[in-house]
Amino acid sequence: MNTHHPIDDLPAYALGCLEEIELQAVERHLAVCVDCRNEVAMLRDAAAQMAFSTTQVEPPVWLKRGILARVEPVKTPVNSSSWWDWLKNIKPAWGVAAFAIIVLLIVSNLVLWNRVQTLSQNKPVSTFQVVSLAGTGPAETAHGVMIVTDSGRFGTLVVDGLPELVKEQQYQLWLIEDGQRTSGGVFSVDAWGYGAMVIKAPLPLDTYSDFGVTVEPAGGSPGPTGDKVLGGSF
Amino acid sequence: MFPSDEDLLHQIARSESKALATLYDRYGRLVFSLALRMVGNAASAEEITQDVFVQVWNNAASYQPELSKLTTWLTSITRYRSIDLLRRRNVRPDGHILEDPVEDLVISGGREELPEVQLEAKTADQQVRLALAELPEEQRAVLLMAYFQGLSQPEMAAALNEPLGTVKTRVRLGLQKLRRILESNEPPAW
Repeated sequence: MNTHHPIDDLPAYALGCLEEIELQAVERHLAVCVDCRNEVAMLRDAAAQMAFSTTQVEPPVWLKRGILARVEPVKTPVNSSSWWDWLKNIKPAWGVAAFAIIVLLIVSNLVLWNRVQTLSQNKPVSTFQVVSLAGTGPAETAHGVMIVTDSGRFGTLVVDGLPELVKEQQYQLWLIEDGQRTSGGVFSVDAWGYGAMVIKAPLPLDTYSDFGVTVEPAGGSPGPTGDKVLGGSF
Repeated sequence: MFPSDEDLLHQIARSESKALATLYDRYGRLVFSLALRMVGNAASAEEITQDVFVQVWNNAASYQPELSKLTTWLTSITRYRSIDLLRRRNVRPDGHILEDPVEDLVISGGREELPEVQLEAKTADQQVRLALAELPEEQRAVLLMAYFQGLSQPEMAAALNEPLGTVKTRVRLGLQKLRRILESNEPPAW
């Protein structure tokens, strides 16, 4: 058994900067020496901390979806040749019926389009108020937006990038005025961190000056108890 | 309240993609930032980040928390991928690779200000930058060259025009000292 411990080479090994011959010698020793393996593990942890010294840059939003798309099961694609076979085998009577349905759909679409055009020309101009919510604490990369009608009576909250919670927990929106916090409803997010809800408020939403989202037990709490993950102001 | 890293790895090992999404929320920025610093190109950093998390997805069952921290595992995969890409291209990125992470801490007033800054240091990146700032400049330089550029000791000796033995000593003393400093601090809140 090799009793010489290559202590001097272990930091360079942990950093991955040994030459091939030295590397092989260290690896032969590590295969039989628990003490040196433990030492390397601790040196690697220290070296890995250097990654935190890098200026943190936000990756593009689509990257997460791209990763999940690569790992989630691929849906079976529609086989185009089977559609073509189906079309080729269709009986003439059914072909006429299908053609009639297509014509009917085109005509009804045109009628609907005309009606929409007419309505939009007569519609009064409406505006919305928008409040941006920024991630804080354990969810600093998250963000959200509240869209509130001009009258302040109705509002919708949309969030993205919040961590998905265990089923015993939900996010709760707080409406804040003069330090008083009123619940605006509870919601959950999906695996992509996306969630939305219609805000329920006893007063018009523009009555409130600030808004926050916290993690609470499922169903919500009378007052905030968990970590704040989003915040914003009118 | 939030699932632990270990819980997430168990869930990923059971092919629960939601857990991977949560892990990405937690560490995606770290992985992307490290890759970007190493390869100096956003498109390549995006590709590496995808590869890292797909590799986590494929190998979560083999991860052994008693052997290394999750951040060590993630950053190791990121480094290997980045170094591999650099070697395939046979190029080293310029500019920001050579940036010194402690520069912004010391540039205004010198290291004598560090104890005061240290009191205010709360985040992991600040703690690591402060720890690096405590190293002699020559030791810090070889650690950064080895870690971010993936240079071997002979390559560093050639680049610095220093004897190989000198570089080896700096690497050894530098990493040992960095480890002692980091162990004496609070663990970063990640």
